[in-house]
Amino acid sequence: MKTRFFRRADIAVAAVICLLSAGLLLWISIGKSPAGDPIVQIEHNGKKIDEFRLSEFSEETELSYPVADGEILLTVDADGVAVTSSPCVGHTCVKCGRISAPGESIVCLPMRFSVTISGGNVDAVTG
Amino acid sequence: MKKRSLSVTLLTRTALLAALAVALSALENIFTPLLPPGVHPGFGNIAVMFAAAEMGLPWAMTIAVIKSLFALATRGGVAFLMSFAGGCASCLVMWALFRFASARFGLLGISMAGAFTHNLLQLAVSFLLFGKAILAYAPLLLLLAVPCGAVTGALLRVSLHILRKTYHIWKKDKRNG
Repeated sequence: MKTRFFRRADIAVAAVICLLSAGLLLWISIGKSPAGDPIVQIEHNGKKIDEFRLSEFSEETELSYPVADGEILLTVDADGVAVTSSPCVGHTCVKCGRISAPGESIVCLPMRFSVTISGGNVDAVTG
Repeated sequence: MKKRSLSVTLLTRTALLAALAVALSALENIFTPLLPPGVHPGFGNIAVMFAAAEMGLPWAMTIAVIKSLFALATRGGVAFLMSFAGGCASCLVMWALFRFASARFGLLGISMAGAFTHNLLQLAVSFLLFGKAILAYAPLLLLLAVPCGAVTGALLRVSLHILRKTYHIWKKDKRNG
């Protein structure tokens, strides 16, 4: 291996990666649903299994969803939703903590389970 | 007979680097609590990168596949799919850069390009399995290819003399065999 540790073109590699990431972040931000009452969507094995608005939960509530090796527990209240228990190995989904803003999501890869928040549509029009 | 010795040397070399890749993959779990959930620094890629530069594509690819089998044994089927797709693609990219563009790119850039490809393919597999829920992670995961790739490249640079020393012993054995 005759390759040197650093060459000028390496800066270009880092710059391209940063630009692509920033572009993707911008694209996701633009594509976000309009702000409103946030809607939580629960998907398992690629299918939507539940959907609710955060405002439906004035008190902290625990929801349970059966998955392959047991059940996933969610804690929901008006301020957000979090995965509190999962039978997966790494518990990455639990470590993600609470999400509350539209566009945020928690994904449990081993259990093929996801929680996504989208912005609620405005139902009433005034004027 | 000579051909057989060569195969044994290559197999031994591959097995040792695969063991190193697996050990480094296990070792990186110490650092994962310091990173955002689900992010791995990718230390195992040090062995894959060295193999891509010194041994050639088939052997580097073999190490990447063994590393993904370790993911299958420890973290399950989804982790295997992600590790396999990311590992093979990043191995191909790093080998191509070493083979055709090493005069232009340094270890740092090649490592970052490999990390980016690894993360991109992992995201693609996750997208196929989960749909757009995974997109929220995409910008951060892609951006982290820069620091993670830089650390991996730097660690390869630091450990290069040890790996080279071992490699030259192998080469000596090959000549004697």
